[in-house]
Amino acid sequence: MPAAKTLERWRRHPTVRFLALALAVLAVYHGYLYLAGPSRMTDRLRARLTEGPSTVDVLVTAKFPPEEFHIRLLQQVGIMRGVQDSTAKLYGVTPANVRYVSRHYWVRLIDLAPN
Amino acid sequence: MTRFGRGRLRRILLGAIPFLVLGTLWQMNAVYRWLAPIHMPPPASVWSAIFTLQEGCPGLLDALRQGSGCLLTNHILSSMGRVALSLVVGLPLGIAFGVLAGIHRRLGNALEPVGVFANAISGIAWVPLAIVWFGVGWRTTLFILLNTVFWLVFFNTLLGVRGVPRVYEHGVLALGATRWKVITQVYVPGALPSIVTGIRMSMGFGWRALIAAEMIGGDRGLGFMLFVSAQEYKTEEVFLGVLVIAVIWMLTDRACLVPLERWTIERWGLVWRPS
Amino acid sequence: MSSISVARPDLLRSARARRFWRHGGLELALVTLLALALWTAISASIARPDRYLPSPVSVLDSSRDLLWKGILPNYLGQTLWRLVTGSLIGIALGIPFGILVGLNRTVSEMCYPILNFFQSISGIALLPIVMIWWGTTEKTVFAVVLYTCFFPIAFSVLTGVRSTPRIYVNALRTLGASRLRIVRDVLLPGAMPSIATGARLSIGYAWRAVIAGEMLAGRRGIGWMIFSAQQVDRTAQVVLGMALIGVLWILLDRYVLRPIESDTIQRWGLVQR
Repeated sequence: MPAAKTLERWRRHPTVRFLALALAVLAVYHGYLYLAGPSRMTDRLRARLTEGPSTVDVLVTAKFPPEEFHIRLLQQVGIMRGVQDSTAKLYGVTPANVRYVSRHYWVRLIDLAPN
Repeated sequence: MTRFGRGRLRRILLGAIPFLVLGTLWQMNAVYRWLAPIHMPPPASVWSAIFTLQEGCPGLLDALRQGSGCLLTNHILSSMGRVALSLVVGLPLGIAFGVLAGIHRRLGNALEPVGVFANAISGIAWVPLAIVWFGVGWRTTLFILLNTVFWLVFFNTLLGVRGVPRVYEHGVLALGATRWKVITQVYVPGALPSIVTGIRMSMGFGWRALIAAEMIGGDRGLGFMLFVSAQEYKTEEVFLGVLVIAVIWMLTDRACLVPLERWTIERWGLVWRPS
Repeated sequence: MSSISVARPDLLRSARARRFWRHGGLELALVTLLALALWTAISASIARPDRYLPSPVSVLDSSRDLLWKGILPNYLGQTLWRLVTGSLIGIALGIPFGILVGLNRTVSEMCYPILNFFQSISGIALLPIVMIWWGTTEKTVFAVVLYTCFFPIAFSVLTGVRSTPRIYVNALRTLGASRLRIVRDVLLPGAMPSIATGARLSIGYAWRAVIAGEMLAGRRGIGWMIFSAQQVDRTAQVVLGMALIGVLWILLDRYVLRPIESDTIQRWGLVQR
């Protein structure tokens, strides 16, 4: 069992402090994204998701016209059917993936696609 | 106590065993086809790749003059030429600046962060910027190499000169030495282990950076040959290139760096070599 | 790292500040300002700054843009993740391997040349071969980082174990220690400095291998960012990426690798002499 003195020494070690700080920053960052995720989904979408569908079709509105990076990311979770201004239409997204997309801070809104 | 007795012969024989084992496995793979030839080419095809690459080479002299058709030797000479050039230019510059920065306390304090930062941006990260400035070609690769060599040697020399106790300088000055004598007789010998470490590191990192730079932004050289052959799926040429790189590095290490290190570091430090 | 208890902590803080200024802090500040000023001046005076040397302001602008669009954190995370997983696993494999090989003199003399051989073939030189095998996938970069990390530390640990004075091993043997005990109490502590130095070297090589791997194998990350930005003439992004690479390495080296190395040598280095 490390004595109290050794623990004290470890706490002041620069590496321990640095890693603790880095982990704390990461935790806060991911925590915020996780918590802010649902707020980006419209009520319609959330209602639809509670029904437990296998896939949904969504409209993802970013804060700017999506670039190649964002399109690639969206294409990994669904079939993209076109981009209009800042909104991309995605077909066949699983609910888990919808939540995953909602956690990105560059997403302004995710809405249920009308069809 | 050993059963076979000590001696260099024993070491050489022992050291050769893993190579023989790997070579045997390699040849067996060529016979039994455990891995497809495109993934693991048979040793024979790697050997014959030397000749296919050298096809159309008129002769030894033309090979040395980098004549057309002597592809393999051209690439080897390009790479090694760049290394030699960068060492000839970069080493003296790096050592000179390092000594200068080490002697003047303020200048050293000012330049040390620059050295730290320049070293932190590894040679590879410079490649895209070098391509912007110099285009794809030998200038880029030479720049990367010079960059790597200079900053490493500079930084290590700076640290080495800083580490020489001032007492020596004062002692020699008290005996009436000139400034130049102080530098050559106190600081440079005192910093020699660090300088040699810097040379060794710069050659190691520089060689890697060269291969990477040639792959990404070069038009000649071993790295370039590796990359192009890989794109054409000529695995035997890629294997050949890797073996050539390894052999060249081991030769330089054995022929230049180990004696250099033995002369300075091993005299004072504890570095184990089989002996 | 001040473990003294003081009655006036505010004085301690200013003592650290005073240390900073005395030990070259002024020069650091001056050099940074001078470098930035020189950079801006050169950038303003050349023909096409946005292509050849974007000013610090435009680099900051591009960083803001990339952050706003969520691209930068993603790329940073990817690169760091590759580095951390590849190097941790490589080191975790390399240390036991080095110790095992170092236990027996014959085995270590047998393995020394071949480890030296593979250490001299950098992971970057192996990238083309691995790309032929596995294409431009995540596995390629991971394998190359793993390879790059494994050999330097295995080699270093082997050297460290062999450098431990035999007298300690013999002393423990006369006291009737088992092989495992000898490893735990003599060889492992004796190899600690080489483990720390080897780990630092390995991670340095691995960092370069990650950047190069991303550039050549096209995996998204900081290395890929600077490579692709150069191809579309977005030099501000290139410089941003380079600055990030430099800063990340400095942080990693100064706050993680070097303290661990110097601590380990401080604690265990005595065994060597």
